[in-house]
Amino acid sequence: MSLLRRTTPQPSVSDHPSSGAVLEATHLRKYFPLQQVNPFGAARAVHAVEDTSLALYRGRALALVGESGSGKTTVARLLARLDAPSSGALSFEGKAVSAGDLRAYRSHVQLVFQDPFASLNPIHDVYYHLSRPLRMYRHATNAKQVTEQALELLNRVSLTPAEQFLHKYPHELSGGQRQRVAIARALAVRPQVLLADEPVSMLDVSIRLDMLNLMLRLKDEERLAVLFITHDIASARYFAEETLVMYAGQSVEGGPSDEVIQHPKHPYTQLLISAAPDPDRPPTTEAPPARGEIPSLITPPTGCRFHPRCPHAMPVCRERFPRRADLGGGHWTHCFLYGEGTATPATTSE
Amino acid sequence: MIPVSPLSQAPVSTTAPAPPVPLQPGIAPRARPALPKGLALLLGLWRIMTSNRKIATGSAIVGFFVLVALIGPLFVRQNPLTYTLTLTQPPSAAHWLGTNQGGQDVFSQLIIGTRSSMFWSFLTGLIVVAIAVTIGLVSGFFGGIVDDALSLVTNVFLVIPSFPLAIVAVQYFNHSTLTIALVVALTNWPWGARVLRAQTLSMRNREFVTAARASGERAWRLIFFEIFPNEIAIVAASFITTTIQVLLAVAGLEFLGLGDPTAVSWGNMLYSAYNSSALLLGAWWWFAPPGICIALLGGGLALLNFGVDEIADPRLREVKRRVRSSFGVGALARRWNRSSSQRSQAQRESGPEKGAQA
Amino acid sequence: MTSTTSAAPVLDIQHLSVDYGEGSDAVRAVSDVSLTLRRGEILGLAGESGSGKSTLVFAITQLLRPPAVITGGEALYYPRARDQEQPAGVSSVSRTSTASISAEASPGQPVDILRLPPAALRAFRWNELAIVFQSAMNALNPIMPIGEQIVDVMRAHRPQMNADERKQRAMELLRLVGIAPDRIASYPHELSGGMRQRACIAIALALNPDIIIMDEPTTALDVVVQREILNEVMRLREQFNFTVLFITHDLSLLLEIADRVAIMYAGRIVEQGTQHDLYQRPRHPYSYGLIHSFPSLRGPRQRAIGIPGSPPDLRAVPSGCAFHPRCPFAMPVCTTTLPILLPQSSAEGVSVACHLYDSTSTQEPPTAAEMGAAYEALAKGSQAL
Repeated sequence: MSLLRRTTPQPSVSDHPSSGAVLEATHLRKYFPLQQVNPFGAARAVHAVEDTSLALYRGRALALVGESGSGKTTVARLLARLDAPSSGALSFEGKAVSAGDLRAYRSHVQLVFQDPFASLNPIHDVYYHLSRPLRMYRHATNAKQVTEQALELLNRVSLTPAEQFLHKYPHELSGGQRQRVAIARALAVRPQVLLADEPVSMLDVSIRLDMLNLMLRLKDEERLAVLFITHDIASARYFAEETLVMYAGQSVEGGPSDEVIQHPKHPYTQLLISAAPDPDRPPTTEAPPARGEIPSLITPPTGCRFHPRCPHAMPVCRERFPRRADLGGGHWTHCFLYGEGTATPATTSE
Repeated sequence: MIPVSPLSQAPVSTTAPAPPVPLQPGIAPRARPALPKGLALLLGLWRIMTSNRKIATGSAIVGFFVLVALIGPLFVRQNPLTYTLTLTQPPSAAHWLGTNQGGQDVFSQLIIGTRSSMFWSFLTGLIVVAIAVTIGLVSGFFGGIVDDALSLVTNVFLVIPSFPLAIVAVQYFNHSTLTIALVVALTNWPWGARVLRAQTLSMRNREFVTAARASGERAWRLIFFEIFPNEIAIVAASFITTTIQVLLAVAGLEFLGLGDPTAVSWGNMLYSAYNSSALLLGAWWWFAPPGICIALLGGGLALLNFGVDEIADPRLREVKRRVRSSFGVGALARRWNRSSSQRSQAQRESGPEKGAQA
Repeated sequence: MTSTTSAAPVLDIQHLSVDYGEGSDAVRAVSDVSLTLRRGEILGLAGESGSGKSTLVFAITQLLRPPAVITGGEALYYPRARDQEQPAGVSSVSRTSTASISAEASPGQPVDILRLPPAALRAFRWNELAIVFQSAMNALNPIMPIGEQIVDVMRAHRPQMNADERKQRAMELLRLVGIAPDRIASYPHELSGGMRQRACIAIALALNPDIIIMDEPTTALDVVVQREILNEVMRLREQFNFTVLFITHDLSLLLEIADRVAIMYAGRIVEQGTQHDLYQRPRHPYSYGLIHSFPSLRGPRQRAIGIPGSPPDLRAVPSGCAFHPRCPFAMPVCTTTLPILLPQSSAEGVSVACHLYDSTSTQEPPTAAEMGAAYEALAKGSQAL
């Protein structure tokens, strides 16, 4: 398997910055091996991520959209280096990321989790949570500096008056406040990349937009590269300039958010959009374009994993996964309906 | 004879209670004067100690014994080991608890023995907990081969019987309280280690641990600053339970004559009482006091276990500010007026809404 | 969707209040809620955390556990008259069980289901009212196959059916909800999340109830499965004409499938009306804010604002109108006086609890554009952006 075949960044929309990607993942694969019950049987594994590539740019957000089992959380964990990829490569600011030196990597890439109630240690107060990254990465060396910078961070995430929040415990805060503390903790590291794994899906509806707007503001102010993982395609459109759709571990479509959502090309994307709640659409009781459930990742369908549910499935879909088809304007998809595209390097892997 | 420590009866809740509906920002909490952290902690501790009859009784008993152990010997005028001529006398003005067959003053023996018994029980309890914590946390956190190896060690020590080992040890080394304390320690740590290993295994996958790891924390910090503080309630409860077991174990071994015959302790008092047929003589003042003390201290520690949960968990500490003391006229009045005494606890446990919260 | 404003009521909730705890420390989870469910409609109940919607449902079905206690109000159930014909498609499962309260009550006379004696309550449950809970995995018994669980219901309420008939009915129900009948012997853990929820719906339908309450049935499911289940529910509703009380925090979903929608905030209903009215012309500022808290799939991509602040802690509910700290139109009267849910003369079936629409307001109520502008101004002022 060719590991370090670096691809050139995909040409994107016109306001694409001229600088290169700050974090790039190429052909990531992740299999979680399962315990062998039968010593003579074949080795089984959960094929969580199958050949995903993406690039993050400073000041821009990329939304990773998919349902459960799509592999989006695994991708986030791979990018945060909480798990090691089975194959594929990561590069930060153009340099390949080596196996060691996690600390240095973590000073550049931070992760915000989905559940605000679970991601803060109930035994420590806000001050402790913020002081750890400040001390670890030497942004503050004594208590006075820690307090100063912690207060500043709380102000930046709009937890005001900051003094009141500094010594609160997580159980004294609401979900939205906790999530802001989690974001503040991630910012304390002063990263260049922020990976947000479904940051608002466990919050009340009326405060979600507030949180998203906060993250947009921080993205602009700090010139962060943001990976926004969600199952809600409407918020992906709201938040991110670019969207990547995953299904059962495979990336199926990607491109500028508006383009992907208004003109979805892959049948799965079309299914997602038709299934999303939309009050403007007239009600109907007819079945959505494709029935069925997300497949098992232990014995996934061969070739394109969507083929069992796809209304346009062809025999070739079962045989192999299609190469990337470039649809123009940065919009691409992996689907035999659109041919197998030009011979761009960022496609098949051995 | 030697009791096995059943840690499963430690009444500790290991799952987090449902988070109470949080305060709204902007609405000021009930005005409380800002106290220095140490004083606030002590006040909080006092409140918890007096909040519940069980905890109050337990802490009173244990506190009393600690006091006796610390300053009691200062008030003892007679040397407990001096043989006098007044043999086997019932309690009198000169000897408050009478004398034993050697004419020794039982009361002074009891007071001096308190120090010895308490010291060795608590020390052994500490040793046990220290070993259990280290092994349990390390094997639970790292898993893999480390876990396998340490679990093997734990399982081996689990089955070593403490009484035969004590006999062998005192024959081989010497008849001293230290020997039997060590024997007891070595045979009692595996239970706690197993419990903590299981706890750590479940904790290590909790999201706040992953978040700390993603933040860049190193392994030792994750173990001791992220995971361990969440387990303090279990550790404290297991410390108390272990202390009870150890108290009984040490007293038991001494009763069998394996202890240091020159030392003054409750177990030794029982040993000499048995050897001198105190029961046949009807000399209840000889064996009843040490027996009662052992039972009382054990009981007090058991009652104290109820308060451990709340002392360790800041969530319960906070909400507890609404619970008032159960002593005094105010409490009596409240008991007349209200029916349920578990009201505040039940209210805390069932918040208005679960599910996605703001 | 059927026209419902003229349909007969099937469940009439009047001034229902539920407290947690008692005495001075009681927390009021539901305050004075009045709601009417009309036969054959889908009534949506929307609200966030602390709104009291789940508590309301548990109160109606008498599933509340201490220290929750119903402190007032009634829920009148209007049984289907015996001479009303069963809708087509219903199998031979009849309702002649003598324990059914519709057999006992005189036709047309409402029954207060909050005060039913235990035997009648048992009969009422599932015969007339069924519930589908949020997490199917928690609602289903993990050690019984799903077929068994459906049959269990019938065994309890239809003693006259024999084992064969019960099995047939169970397979029929599974087919109805879109599960292959051969899965009748599967355990819940062998089914996917969507199928488990369908199994719960099958159990709910087992006795052809009049009312089905769905408490966030699709929240834990993926959006595609959610769509399938909702379509299924709507199809079944058309076939069997039962009434649905649908509770969710996802207002955009309700605006698609519900006939009428009621919005709850801090234990009270703040607005109710037809889906059309609510979407086109939300009156209460909270309704407006909530509807605009969902980023749109189509339409221009522009900066949107939710509602500043967060839902209140029920232990410290703001005085007067609970929404006033977050409301862009808050007036002095809002901090002192609780607004009452009043029907609006301008539109049929619409009620709002807001001082902008009652006699205390001197100006015209704000238009949608004005509401939008007011929220913008509030957001800028509170530095939420």
